[in-house]
Amino acid sequence: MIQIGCFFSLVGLGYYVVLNGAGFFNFAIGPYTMFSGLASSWLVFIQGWDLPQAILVGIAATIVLSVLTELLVVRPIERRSGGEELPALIAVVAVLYAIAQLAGTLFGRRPLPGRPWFYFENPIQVGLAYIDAQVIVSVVVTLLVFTALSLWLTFSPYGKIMRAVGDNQEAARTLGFPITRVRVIAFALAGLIAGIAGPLFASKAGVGFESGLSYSLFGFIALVLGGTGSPWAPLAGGMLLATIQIMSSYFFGSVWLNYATLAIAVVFFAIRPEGIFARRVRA
Amino acid sequence: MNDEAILVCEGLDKRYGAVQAVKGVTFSLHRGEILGLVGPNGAGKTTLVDLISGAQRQDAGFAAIRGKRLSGPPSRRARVNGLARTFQHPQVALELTVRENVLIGVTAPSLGSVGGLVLSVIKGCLSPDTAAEDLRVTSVAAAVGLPEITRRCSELTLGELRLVEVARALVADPSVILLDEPFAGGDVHGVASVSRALQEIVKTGASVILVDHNVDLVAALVNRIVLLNFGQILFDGDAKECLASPAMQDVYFGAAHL
Amino acid sequence: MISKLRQRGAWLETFSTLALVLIAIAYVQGDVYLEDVAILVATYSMIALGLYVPFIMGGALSMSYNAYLGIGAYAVAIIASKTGLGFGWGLPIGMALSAAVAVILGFATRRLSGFFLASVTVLFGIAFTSWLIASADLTGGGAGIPTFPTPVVFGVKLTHTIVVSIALLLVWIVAVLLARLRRSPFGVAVRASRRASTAVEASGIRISTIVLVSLALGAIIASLGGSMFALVNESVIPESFAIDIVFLTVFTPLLGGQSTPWGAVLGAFLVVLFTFELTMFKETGTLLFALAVLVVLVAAPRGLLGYASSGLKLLTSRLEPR
Repeated sequence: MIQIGCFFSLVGLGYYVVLNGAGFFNFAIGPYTMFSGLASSWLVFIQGWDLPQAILVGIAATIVLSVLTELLVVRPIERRSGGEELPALIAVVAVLYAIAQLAGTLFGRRPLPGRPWFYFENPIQVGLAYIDAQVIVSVVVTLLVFTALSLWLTFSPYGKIMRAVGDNQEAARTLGFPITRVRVIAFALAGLIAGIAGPLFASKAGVGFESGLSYSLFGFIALVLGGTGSPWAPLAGGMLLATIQIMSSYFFGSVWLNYATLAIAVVFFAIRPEGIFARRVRA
Repeated sequence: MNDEAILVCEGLDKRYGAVQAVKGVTFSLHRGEILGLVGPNGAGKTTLVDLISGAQRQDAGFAAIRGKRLSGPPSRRARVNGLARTFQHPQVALELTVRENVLIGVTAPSLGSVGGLVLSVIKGCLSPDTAAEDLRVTSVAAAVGLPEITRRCSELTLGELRLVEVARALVADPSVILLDEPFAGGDVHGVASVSRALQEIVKTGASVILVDHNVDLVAALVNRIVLLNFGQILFDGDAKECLASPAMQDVYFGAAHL
Repeated sequence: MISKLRQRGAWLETFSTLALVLIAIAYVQGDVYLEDVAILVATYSMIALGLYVPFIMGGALSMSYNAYLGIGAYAVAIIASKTGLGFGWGLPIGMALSAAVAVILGFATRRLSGFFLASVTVLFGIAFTSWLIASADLTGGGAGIPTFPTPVVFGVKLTHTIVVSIALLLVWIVAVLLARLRRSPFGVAVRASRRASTAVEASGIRISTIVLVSLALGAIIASLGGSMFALVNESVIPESFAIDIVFLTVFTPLLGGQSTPWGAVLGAFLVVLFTFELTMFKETGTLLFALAVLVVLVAAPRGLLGYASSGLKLLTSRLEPR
């Protein structure tokens, strides 16, 4: 459960970064995650590579895919359609589908297992949960990523610019901030985060070329639940979503996972789209 | 023009947090009258128009047309009370033609309810052509100054888009039309076409509230002026008197402006 | 007001498409494989046509169409196999249920737009398939409803061929009706509400109501498609109604061209071509389709028929007397 929560949080964080840097919900981030996970699994199990190299290739591939999405698809379409949201939405759904098909073609249509990053012999038992090494690794990596991003947003020059753009894109543009560069950086960062998340969680339940859609949806909900007020918000959202999913599965049956997720989405989107941590508008 | 009040506003109030956008606004519009609603930017004109049209809900007070209180969303007020409105930024579907945009005004009454919509779906599948409605669209559009109704609205100038809005409002045969800042961003041609459109409106017997911050332009076209500032009415009366009044001097040239 | 040329154009369109459909029906007669391809084209077309009014005309991306397809299909299957009623009842019951579901879902999501609306409706589509699998008593669960008896109407046994032919004709009928609806006051109102909704509202039309009617209409069309699909296959399984089918069909009107419902049909035909027909594309068919969609979205947004009609307009404007 913790592991799943961490996963949703990371995907949500990817959304957060692109939302701040480009004002856009990058629905293709689920497939990026899937691609990295599936690519590294394929390299390890089918091609016999070592895990670290496979993961690096996965991450690199995902960053490339993400940046290409911005350069080849999102930017030209946004430029052409001005105010309307619909064309960019359709385009990113098409990218979601295309990346899934690309993965299916490259890596085959059967799901592959993942490989844990570390092993130890006996899982530690904490209450009812068995914590194996991968869970600890997941938590550590997740916290590292969130911390690194937080620090980057607060202290690095591009990080600060991205926060400014996130607050008010129009103002940032008139002030002469390098919007296009920030957008590319945002997409690249999202690709990096997704690239890490994929192989990290592939070992939990395997990964297949069609997994990207669920990842996208759950990451989106994690973001909306947590809100857009702080880079740590998707962590709360992801944990909350994972808890609700596991609880409803446990008490009512596995099909209730989907019903519960739908219910959360309907309720939260309609009632509180700003999420738990609402952004404070700087007046 | 006679003295029958067709639109009455009584004690309208609207506040946003600490700001009182509209305060105790009370005035009447008479049948056949062209009323100018003027005031500097931020005076509350657009809020007042929104309150009347139903785009926003008032905190207190009411508005009524022919004695029937205005309530509900804008669509209801258009259908039930005969209210029509144009917008400062013309709300025109650019990918559709002039004919199609104006057609909305004609056909809206029959599309106003669920039953009407379902019937129109059935009718639309079986006999979609709208010869009678098109005739009305053509005549109103021509009268207002838009003879070529097959043009796509993306090709029109700002002034022409405003005329589309006026035509769309007029085909519905409204009792009251709210013209929201029809001169903003326009040029000499725009002004001329708006005043021509006004004459057409008057011919149909509708009453008009013309909202703008450019007092000189408005004063030349209207019978009466209501001057608004900080949400309150400072003057309500004859256009020429208004221009000369101390309230006007204050608002546009003096201390109140700061 | 519509120029003589355009009126003649409408009749031409109606008859030429009818001719094409009749030729297609004749072509697939008796060949089981071709008939299966044809029913796929018909089913995808019906989903795409169901998407046409709310999505292409109205601009709202509601993606739960696999649910409406499934409701139409399962309604026929359940009624034919479990009740004494004739299969024919399945069609209107499916359509009514789908419309009801669409209205409820539409009402719950009425304030949502864009990404939020798409997400919720996709989640609904996923939940629907889960529900199909979990509700074994009603739907046969994961195994579905394997067979039900061949329908008989007025003593005529509805063979595979007959049902496929009817399905293709239905696609033609729906497309023609939607093309007319598009020109009608209702269609103009839906199209205007996409970007000038304030004005439509100010003229007297409640946007929320017109959206619900559009969604219901789309659901009814998709349900009809699902019913035909079930009748041809004489069985239903949940996998046929997974959310993936929406991802395939949502792009078809964009590929084919948005300014006419025939674009949706053309797009559906192309999808089947890409993904099933051309054996050299066997493994990569869907990828090529996805890439083609992206290319069209970025570089050629008016779709095939859009560009074809511009070419035609160019020709006819040269021919029309000045």
